Amino acid sequence: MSIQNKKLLAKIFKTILLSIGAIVMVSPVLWMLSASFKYEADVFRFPIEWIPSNPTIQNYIKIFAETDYINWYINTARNTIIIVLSTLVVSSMAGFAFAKINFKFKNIIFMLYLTALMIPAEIRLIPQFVLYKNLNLINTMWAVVLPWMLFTGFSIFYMRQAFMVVPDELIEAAKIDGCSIFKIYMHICLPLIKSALVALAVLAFTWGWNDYTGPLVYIRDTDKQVLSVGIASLQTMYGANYALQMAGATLGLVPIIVIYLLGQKHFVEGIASSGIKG
Amino acid sequence: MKKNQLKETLVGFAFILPSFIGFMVFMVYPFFNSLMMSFMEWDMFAGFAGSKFVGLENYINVFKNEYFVTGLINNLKMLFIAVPILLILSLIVATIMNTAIFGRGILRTTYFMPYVTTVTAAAIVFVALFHEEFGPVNGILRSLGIENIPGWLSNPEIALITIMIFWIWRMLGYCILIYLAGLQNISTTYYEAASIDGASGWQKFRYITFPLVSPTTFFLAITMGIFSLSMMAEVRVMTNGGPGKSTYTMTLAIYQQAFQKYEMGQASAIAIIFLLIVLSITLLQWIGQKKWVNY
Repeated sequence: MSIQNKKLLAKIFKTILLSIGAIVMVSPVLWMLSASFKYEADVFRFPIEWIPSNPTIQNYIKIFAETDYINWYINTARNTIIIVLSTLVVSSMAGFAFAKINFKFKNIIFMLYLTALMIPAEIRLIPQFVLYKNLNLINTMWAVVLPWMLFTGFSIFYMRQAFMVVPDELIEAAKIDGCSIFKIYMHICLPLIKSALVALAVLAFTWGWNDYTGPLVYIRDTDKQVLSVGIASLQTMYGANYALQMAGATLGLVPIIVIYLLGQKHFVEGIASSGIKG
Repeated sequence: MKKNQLKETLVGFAFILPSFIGFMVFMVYPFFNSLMMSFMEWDMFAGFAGSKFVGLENYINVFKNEYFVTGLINNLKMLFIAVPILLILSLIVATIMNTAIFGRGILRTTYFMPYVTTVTAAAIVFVALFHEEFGPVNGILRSLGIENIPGWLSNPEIALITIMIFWIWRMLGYCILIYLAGLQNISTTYYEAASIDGASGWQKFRYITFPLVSPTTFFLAITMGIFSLSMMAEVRVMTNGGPGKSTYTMTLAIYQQAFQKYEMGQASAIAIIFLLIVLSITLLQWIGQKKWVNY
């Protein structure tokens, strides 16, 4: 066999190997999708019927009729938008300052921010609960979004890395031309790191959309709840009815998966660049 | 010059002001408040005035708390079993993906997809998939003629393993992406030189890929380590700590103590011990890195 044929064969073999793995990775989602269109009696029929022979949309109708699903969508979407926008503003400002402004205590503050990265969010649950209780914020959306809005150590670190690449000469030149620092940030530097901003927006979207512990602890009423907690509550609501549970899970996963597929280039870039500096 | 410096400092502070407020209110204050509460028998409704100082009592009780101790053991199992499996699997996939294959883009997209899924939604899917009697996973095992089909989530011995499988499924794509970024930084000349010297595929992996990608492995070991130690949503949805208390994790114990039993002081002490455990494991990894990480 010629070397070229051998290489092609190896390429085909490796592709098949990875494809098998990829099928395993998506099969849970495909199974969920197919089960959500089945009658409960057909859900667990074996061999698996990937395309329902007797499809129904009654699960979806029931979910919307019996749960607060519409409210969960609205609440989740609202929280996510707030989290994405404020993360972009707050983190890009801080990141710009750490990368390009020389101010006192800069390094100390940045080190403190970095140590915050190593502290699991769960440790803050209890004191935050007490704080919110005193401020009457329990059972409001602010209890969920405020911590995300004002401080995510990772985003600040990520923005700083992005701004570091902007050449200092550019900033010096703008200063000599009489540009204020805010204008330099706004009109010169931000446009230059557009791709990093998009990547961060996409990451923040997944954080906001998938946030679970905060809403679980701080939100009491079902109609104020978000998707992640709402979907988990379907488990107790529809204990043995898996078709309904799968319809609920599908409704929660479809938007995020669609957004992922549309913006996958930015997801991949964002994630990959977040890990380069170990 | 002096005036300029002052001005820059002021502007700098203005830029970091929002995040600094967030840092103080949502990181520093909660930390010290937790510390204070951990020495008190904290009354949820009366607040500070109605609570009393109990010294180290809460800390002594932490290790008598069966849920926490079980949780600690389970988290350590995840750290020492699930994290290495996750890293090895993702390095293997990333290494193959980094060579000549067809459809790299679509494969990468597919492997990464589970990472964006909402934990709770994906978890209830896995609960159904791994159902002892009806679940398709056991259906497949049965059709393969396997007699002793596992009870998965209903069996206290392997429920934790089922949760690890779910966790690895969700995290794999992330680790693959990070490894791909690391692998792409390795210059191809190393491999070319090794090929000329007649090195086998395994030797190339062992003596070139593995050492050169070690900073990435280290980064992933730290971040995945922290994730595995603070796992809660997965467990809460899949088993809620059961059967019995076989799948409790440290954070689930904190949640239960604080928000179901409302013993905030006790829960804060657990949280502080939890933090110390996470930090010391991270620190050990930092110290250990000198032995195997090449920069």
